[in-house]
Amino acid sequence: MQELAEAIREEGKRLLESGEVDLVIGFTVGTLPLRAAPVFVRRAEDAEQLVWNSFCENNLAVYLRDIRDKRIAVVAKGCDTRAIVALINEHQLDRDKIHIIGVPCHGMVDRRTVARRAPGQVLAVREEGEEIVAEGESFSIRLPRSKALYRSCAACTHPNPVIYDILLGEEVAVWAEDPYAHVREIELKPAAERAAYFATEAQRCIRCYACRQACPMCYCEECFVDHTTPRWIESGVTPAGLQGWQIGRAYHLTGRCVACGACERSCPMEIDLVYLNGKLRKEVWELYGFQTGLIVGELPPLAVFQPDEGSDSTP
Amino acid sequence: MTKKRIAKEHINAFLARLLEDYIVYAPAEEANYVTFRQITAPEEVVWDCLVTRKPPKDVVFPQTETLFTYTKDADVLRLQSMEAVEKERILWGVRPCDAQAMLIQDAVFDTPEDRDVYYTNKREKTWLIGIGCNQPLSTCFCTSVGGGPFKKDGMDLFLTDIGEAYLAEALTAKGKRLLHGRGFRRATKADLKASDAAEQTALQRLPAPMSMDIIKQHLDGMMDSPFWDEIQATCLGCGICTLLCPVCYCFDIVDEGTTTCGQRVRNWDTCQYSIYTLEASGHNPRPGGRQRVRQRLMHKFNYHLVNQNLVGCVGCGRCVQLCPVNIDLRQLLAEIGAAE
Ligand code: SF4
Ligand code: SF4
Ligand code: SF4
Ligand code: SF4
Ligand code: SF4
Repeated sequence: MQELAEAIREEGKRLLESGEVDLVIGFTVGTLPLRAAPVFVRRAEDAEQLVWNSFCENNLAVYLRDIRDKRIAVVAKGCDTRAIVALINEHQLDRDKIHIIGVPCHGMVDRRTVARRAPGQVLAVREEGEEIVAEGESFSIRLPRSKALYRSCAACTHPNPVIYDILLGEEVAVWAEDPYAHVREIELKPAAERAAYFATEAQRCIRCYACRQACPMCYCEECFVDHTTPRWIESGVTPAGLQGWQIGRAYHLTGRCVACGACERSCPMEIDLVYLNGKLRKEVWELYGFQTGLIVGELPPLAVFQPDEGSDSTP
Repeated sequence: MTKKRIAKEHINAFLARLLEDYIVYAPAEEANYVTFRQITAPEEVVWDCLVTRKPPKDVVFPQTETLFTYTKDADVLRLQSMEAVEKERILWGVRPCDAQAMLIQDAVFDTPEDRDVYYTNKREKTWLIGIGCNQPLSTCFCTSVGGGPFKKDGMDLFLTDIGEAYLAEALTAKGKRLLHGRGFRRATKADLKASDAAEQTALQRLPAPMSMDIIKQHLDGMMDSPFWDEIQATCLGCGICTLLCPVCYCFDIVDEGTTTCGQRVRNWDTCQYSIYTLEASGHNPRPGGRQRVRQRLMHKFNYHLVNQNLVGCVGCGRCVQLCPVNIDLRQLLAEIGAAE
């Protein structure tokens, strides 16, 4: 991991020094244990700030669309590159303006899981091989990385960058056995239980929209929840308002979600968004054999139609 | 005022008595975290959680609240206000920062000129039983904003963990009325000493206070600073740091319904959303992230001091803990303080 971080710093420095790009987007050391923070590096000497570790949890592709006037390099793990591909396919990004520093990913560690396992406040954390060591005032615990991964990372099908200008480090082997294991677990429950699960999850939502803001694919100039004339759903944290929001967002991401889990990671109420979006991802996979953001030029199924296909009214 | 001791084994019985007469809110589990919510049994209380996921502010200022309902039958319009509040509530185990936040909200919703009845009706029936923080978290910075882990402002009753027992101090007439019954004993000198010691130890754990005066002064000259561009670059513009802030009190009012029936609702709002300032004409006076991150800091650490003579932050560290991109308010304040 350390060598990878060093390689990222070097590449960032080289790109800025040579003037190939104006900006490098990557991660820097966080202010809290278990955290790394997205950072914009504009000067070669600041490339020193770049780091790489198991806490680089954000999908940096979320920043790319808004920067139109600069040549950007972005540090991208598998899911970040899938978002880049999906955005290119939706005509939101210009491939030529983005220099992708591809980084094979070992899966990101869920800071909440580690914090919950710890008997007190975690004050320091380090990685030792395949273990996460978390320390507090009077404890030190070790967790295997594989047991502390984000739910979306545990199910990741593409940890290696699917598109890049340079690939740093060695490609990794895919570890997920069944990417839809969590979805299946819930699908097996009786309908009433599933409905109750969805309703209680949704009811904790505070409509902070961090899930939307963190999502690289949620880029509408005006989100349906922000539309006031007319209002599509109730405005408050009522069951109708919250479930309407959750369903609306999930539907808008059908065939578009790249499975990065950025939504769930950012959610302050720890709502099971991996299930919601995963369920629709699974439908798209089963109906169309399609996974989002793998191939440039391959359009999402709901964005294409065949002139001779049937319609609802003509079976 | 009156100080008594109550052995820890009696505290749940005390809370059980309160549960008979009041709606009680306390730090309690929800899903995978601890939040401030209504409880129905003393066993639900999580005693060692300092900073609950949600602050208790929604007890008096709910995230979604119906102000009135209307029905129109033929040509008769009927309005029904929802302002009345029946039952009294107790906030159990409130931390000093969250209590301070309620005092700040009081200064906004309840002024000599204007009283927001939806707020004040609930507030007047809400009593605070606080608890001191023996072990402040690494993200806590209450002493920088005029608070402290044992600050009793706003509390009716205040508990201090002194090992085998709590020292219970009544701070208002209401607190005094609550402070009796089985389990309470006269506090001894040793109890008072233990309480002082707990306070001293806690204070030492907190970082050296920042100067809010200097930060305010520096902010006076930072309207056009490039500082805001740096923050907005990575800020996602979500609602976490404001909606979950115990102090933030912005709201939006919406009419929902049809021509024959419906309601007027108010919801929490936040200056971090682009539509917060979007005008009907389509003009947005705060068009970008730069203006929005600036507003949050300016409001809390500058305008708030001018308007209310209070800092708009109580140092609970919720925004620090929960920001999805690790934008750390403490770091921003340190940089503002050090700015030329
Ligand atoms: S939820 Fe839907 S409307 Fe809102 S930003 Fe995402 S895709 Fe767009
Ligand atoms: S991040 Fe979580 S709490 Fe916030 S709007 Fe999304 S689901 Fe709701
Ligand atoms: S600004 Fe942050 S630290 Fe201050 S009171 Fe609000 S949530 Fe707490
Ligand atoms: S910081 Fe923003 S959301 Fe909070 S009270 Fe001030 S203007 Fe409102
Ligand atoms: S929580 Fe963080 S990302 Fe969200 S608005 Fe606040 S500073 Fe920005």
